[in-house]
Amino acid sequence: MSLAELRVRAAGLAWVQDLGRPGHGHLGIAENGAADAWASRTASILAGNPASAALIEITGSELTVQSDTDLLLAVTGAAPVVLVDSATQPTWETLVVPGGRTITVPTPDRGLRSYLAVNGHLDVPPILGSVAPDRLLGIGRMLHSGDTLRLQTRFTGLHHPYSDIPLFRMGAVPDPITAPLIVESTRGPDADQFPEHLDGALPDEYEVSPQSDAIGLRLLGPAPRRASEHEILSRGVPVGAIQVPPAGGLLLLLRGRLVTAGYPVIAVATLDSIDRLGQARPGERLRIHLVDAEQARQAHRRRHAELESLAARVRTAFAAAGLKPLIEPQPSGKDDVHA
Amino acid sequence: MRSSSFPAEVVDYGDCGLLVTFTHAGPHDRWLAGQALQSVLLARTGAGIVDVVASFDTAFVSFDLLRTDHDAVRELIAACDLTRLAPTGSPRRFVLPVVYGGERGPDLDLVAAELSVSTEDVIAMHTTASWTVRLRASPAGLPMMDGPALPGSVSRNPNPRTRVPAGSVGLSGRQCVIYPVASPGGWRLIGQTPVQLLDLADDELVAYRPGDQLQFRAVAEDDWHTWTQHRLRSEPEKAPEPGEAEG
Repeated sequence: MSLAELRVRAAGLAWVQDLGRPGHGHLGIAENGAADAWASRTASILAGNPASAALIEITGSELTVQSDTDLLLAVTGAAPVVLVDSATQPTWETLVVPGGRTITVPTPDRGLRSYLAVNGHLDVPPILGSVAPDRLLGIGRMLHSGDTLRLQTRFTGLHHPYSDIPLFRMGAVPDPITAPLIVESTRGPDADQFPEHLDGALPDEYEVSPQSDAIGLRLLGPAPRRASEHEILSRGVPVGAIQVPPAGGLLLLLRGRLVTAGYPVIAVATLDSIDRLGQARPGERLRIHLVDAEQARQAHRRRHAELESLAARVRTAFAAAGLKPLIEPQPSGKDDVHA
Repeated sequence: MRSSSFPAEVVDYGDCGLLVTFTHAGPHDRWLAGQALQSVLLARTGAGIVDVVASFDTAFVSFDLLRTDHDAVRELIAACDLTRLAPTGSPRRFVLPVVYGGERGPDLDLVAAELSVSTEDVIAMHTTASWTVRLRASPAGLPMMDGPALPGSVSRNPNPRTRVPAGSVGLSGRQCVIYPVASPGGWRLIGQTPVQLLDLADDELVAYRPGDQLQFRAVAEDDWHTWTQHRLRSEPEKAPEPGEAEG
């Protein structure tokens, strides 16, 4: 392992991020973690890290970093390109960047969040097993211009015999950012209280309100008519719950949600759709498609299999390029995908 | 599908969750059943269980979509033996100083008017009997508590505050909460405790567990600063020292 330093030249809105704190809801702690976990996992795998590794999440802004040492990295999410000095490089791909060059993740034209994963282990202390920011707990590592992030890495450089910088084609699959955004959802436990939506379907188009945050998206549009006055005692709510608050519109809970709530839940967005919502900007249009649990499960398992085959391709490509395994698989990451 | 040993309805709650609604006759039994199911299932992470959020009369069970599914988790829930409805560990008691009214509890007058009693009555009702922690909710393990029979139900704030200060004590319906950290909130605020509830170095972040008892004690604004360095600790088993939290 060697120490690398990542100097932050210009930070917009960027945090050190990972996949959050699932399994702490019984303590009143939200998952949080990468808003677009598909992009986050893919970036980590492309950088030769475990899919759950810490990386940098950039929201609706530009980030420029630099290192004295060569880096193996990947950028995914909304950013259209990566700039290495002034040269345009692809996103959703493994990149080798020689020391001294600046790496810029530009502000996206569409979508909201980009991810920069660098091979190695970012030296940020976890709380409850995660480095993810939790604004309510007041924790997390925000990047500021002039900061230095330390990194333990096994990557010490790679020089291709023909061209100075090797090119990889790993075949990672970006999640398309569509307009309107498509959210898949299953029927919620309280759909029977809404006579026009007994099956949990929400056929109207909605707009993401500017009053949205990491806790949830406020969706502007028709409010389903509720036939019941029955008050719901506070109870656990899943990430993705589509609630019908009395004030109108819909409230779609994201990974920073409060773990309990008392509004009726008409539908619940699927795990995969929640990743897509990580790219939703205020003002964007959104449509909700009803699926059943079996369809959602099959789709999620297919996506996971795609990540596993990506990790396998990354391993093969690194071996062919003469790179030793970059990261030991961690015994704790039992559900994890390793490159 | 086998039938369960306890009365409950189980419905799908998203693509990786189930909502268990307990239908025992009494509210205490419904809460106990949730606690029991939570402690049984949280030990079954090997079977793909990710989390269990037990509340007053429900439990939200979430699972790993890659490892199990709704049917298998329904079977797992049905197989749980909740006949011995007892919370794990004996309840502990915490005493918490609170400054009532004024800027610390800006809704005290409103709550008194809503319950048709004086503000002194509200403070007396709030401090005489102890409150039972039913669950640790958000943000940051916020204790949701049941307590004495109030003369009526307290309304929710129709315009939730964007920032409720840490330590604020709120009422809504017949329940009471304390905000461990500053956050948005819609509960009616009657006071504020100077004692810190949150400890980021603690594995569970807060000292109390469901079933524990919280006893509030009215203190004067002048005494506020003497408590601000205190963290919440339970009273010693023996030799109780009413109101004296440890620093």
